[in-house]
Amino acid sequence: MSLPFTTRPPIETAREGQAALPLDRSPGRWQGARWVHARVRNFLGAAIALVILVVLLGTTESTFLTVGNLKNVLITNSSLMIVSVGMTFVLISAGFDLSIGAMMAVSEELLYEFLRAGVPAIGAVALALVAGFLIGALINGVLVGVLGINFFVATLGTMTLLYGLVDVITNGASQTIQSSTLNRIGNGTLWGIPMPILFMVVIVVLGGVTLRWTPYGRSIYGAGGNREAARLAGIPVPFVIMSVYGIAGLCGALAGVVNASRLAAATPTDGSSIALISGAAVLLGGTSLFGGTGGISGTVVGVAVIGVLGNGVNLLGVSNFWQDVVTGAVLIGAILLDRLQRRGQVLH
Amino acid sequence: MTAAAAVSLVGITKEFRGTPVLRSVDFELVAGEVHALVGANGSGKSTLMKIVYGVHRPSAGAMRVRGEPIHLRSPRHALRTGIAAVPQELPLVGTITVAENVFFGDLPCRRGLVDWGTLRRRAAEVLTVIDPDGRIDPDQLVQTVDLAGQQLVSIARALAQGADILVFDEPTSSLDADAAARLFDVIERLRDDGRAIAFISQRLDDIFAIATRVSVLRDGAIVARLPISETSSARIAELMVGHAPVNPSRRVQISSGPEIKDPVLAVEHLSVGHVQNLSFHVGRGEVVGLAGLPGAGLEEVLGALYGRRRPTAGTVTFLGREMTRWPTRRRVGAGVAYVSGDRRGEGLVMAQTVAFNLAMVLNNRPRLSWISHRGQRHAIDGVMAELRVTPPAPDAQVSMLSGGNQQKVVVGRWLLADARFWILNDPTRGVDIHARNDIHRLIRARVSAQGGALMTSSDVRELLEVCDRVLVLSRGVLVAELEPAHSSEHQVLALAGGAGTGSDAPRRPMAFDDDGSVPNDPDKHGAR
Repeated sequence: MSLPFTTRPPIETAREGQAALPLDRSPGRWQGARWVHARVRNFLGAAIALVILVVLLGTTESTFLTVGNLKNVLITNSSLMIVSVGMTFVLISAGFDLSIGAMMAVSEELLYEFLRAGVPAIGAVALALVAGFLIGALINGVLVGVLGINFFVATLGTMTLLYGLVDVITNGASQTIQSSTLNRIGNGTLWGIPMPILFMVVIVVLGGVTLRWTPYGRSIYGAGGNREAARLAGIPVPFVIMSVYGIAGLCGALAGVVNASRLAAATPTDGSSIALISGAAVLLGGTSLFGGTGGISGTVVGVAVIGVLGNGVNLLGVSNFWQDVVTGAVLIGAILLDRLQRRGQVLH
Repeated sequence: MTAAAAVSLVGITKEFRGTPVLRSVDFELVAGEVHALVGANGSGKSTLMKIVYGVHRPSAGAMRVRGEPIHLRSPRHALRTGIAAVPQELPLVGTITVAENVFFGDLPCRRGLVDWGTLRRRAAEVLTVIDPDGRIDPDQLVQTVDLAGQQLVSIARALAQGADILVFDEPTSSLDADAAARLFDVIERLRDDGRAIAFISQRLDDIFAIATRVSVLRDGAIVARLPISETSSARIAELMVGHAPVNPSRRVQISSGPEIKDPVLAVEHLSVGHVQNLSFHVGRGEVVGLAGLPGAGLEEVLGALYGRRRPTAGTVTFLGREMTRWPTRRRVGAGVAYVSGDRRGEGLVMAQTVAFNLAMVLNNRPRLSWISHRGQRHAIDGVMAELRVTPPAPDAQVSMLSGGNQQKVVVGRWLLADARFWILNDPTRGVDIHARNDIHRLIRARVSAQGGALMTSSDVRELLEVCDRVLVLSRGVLVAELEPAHSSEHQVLALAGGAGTGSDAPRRPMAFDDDGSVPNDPDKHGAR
């Protein structure tokens, strides 16, 4: 991913008297290595970890750098990536969405019910996505953005409620989905590219452009970085927060559609651990838990680290459980690195 | 009143819950002037300015902006009309760049997408006006810019929004002398550009440095409007209080003082934050007051004594032992107490009971042994009786108590811990008179028995009533040591406001309007 999606400019310390030299404010400084560094420094730790992982696996495992394996990595992680885009929006707004995985289970179930009721496949998908957006915006969004409830409490409640509802309806059993259209969505290709990867790329690009280049996207940074400043700048903060949880719901629903299509089944427990994994990926990617900073390019790197780790653990034939151990260690390492980089800066 | 007035207010009256704060005030601000507004505590000057920038609406009276009648609905509405308050109503987002902050809420776009090139260029243009030395990089994150710089970014933001009427409310209170001088350069440039500027400051020297005109408010009415060249600080002070100061008291020198034998606390050549080379002693049984305007460095000094701020130089000696680098825990163990008027922020665990809060210092060792509840209960009951905490219910949730009783709980925990030296940071803020007397009495009793105290207050009269000596700090420098018996509030405030020391012409009082921290300040009621 070479698109400069992050928002971080270079950080220069502002010790007193240090900036006595007139700064060059000419646009020329946008060019070159500094420009790249400015965009990467936010998730430098994760980027380094990714490079090391790829080099290690590439040299030790002959199967790692094959087209088939990489395609496999991308497909298995497409739903994590999609969810993480939504999670990035929420984290930048200084929130977290624990219910994003439950949204996957809900949308899978809705997809199944709509299909059973005779709705055409494309219509069923569209309805599931709209439902995801509305549930996110109207439950989480209203609780957090309008009523000011703590995001953790609100989304924990929503998560429990949604999984409960799905269990009530399905009795906890998976449902088989039979639809040729959905099968194409899950397992087909377009121009030789598997559909889940296409969905993932489209969401990444849309999310990245929205955050980086639209006034709406920038208002999320304001609402997350300093809510009062955003309010006084005329930004409709409650609406922005609602929309952010709506986008998270939409991403959760889309991830559900992708999973249900791939497996031809609606799984009531799907996504039960994805909220925390995607949170880890987003944080790895340099987005702050306290809001106001970060971006999609970091999230892409964060998800890549987690995806490659999982694949590597598989290839090495180690128990899958080790993946979590390594992921946690990498997360803590990346955050420590970030902390070390920032030490000594004057922060107010 | 000319047609050219940028802002004119006629017959402005403002009441808060029936209490008049402004009585038919006329005020005008013309392009190309810096109009200073001065007045004593509660005179209504903040209220007047908040009407100008749209926070308050007047109860009666008319406002015109550039000749057009207008009813401002909000600070945002004021901003659209070209009126900006710096920095109060233009807070910044720390996590994004200076350039983006300058245009935040109104980013330049091309085909619906943010045009970063244009944004950056225009931000650089605005910054050239307010920061010609190039101290601020438009690509810097705002949180990496120092406070003075952030203030400049706020001004840039106001200019970018097209504001030509700027209200500066105490802009220098957190700035050192250099930064203040730089701010004045910017304000002068804006004035010469033809912008209209209103300026509130507690500092006499600020007003004489920057203002072209001064309006004096007293008891909610304008009592004088003068060109700055035709007045003096003494004259302004007289107008503010309405009479010549009754007590043209002896100026008390900055003294090396009579040497105190056996001091409880000795501070030698302390430098912390912008406080430089401060030395003083607190003798046994003595309560020493520390006076100064916001930004004078009181917080820094108290912080250094309690171990929250690391001094860059100097020593602090407590009962003969140097404790300059001790962590707070160790100071508490040695008998240093910290009583803050900020009960909610620094004092109490609001969700817990009175007894829990009283025993917090006693139980500050994270041991896993049983707390002797019965023994503590006895002591707690004793302290509650001594403090006259009402209701006398140790198991009541502390948030249910009145402010005064809550403050007694804060004091009480140190009584239980047998503190020897008391750091009192505005200890009776927002406390009713009875509780206030109780707290004074108790502190007095404890201090005379065994220790000493250093006290600050948002109410200078309190310092003069309670303390044995009052030290006055101005911009981080100890400028005077006063004897309360021979000193007036005016004198303290004049010294704190930078009226200089020991010189001939006795310049007198400056306003001491610490919005929000003064009990019964009518300005407070309308704040959002």
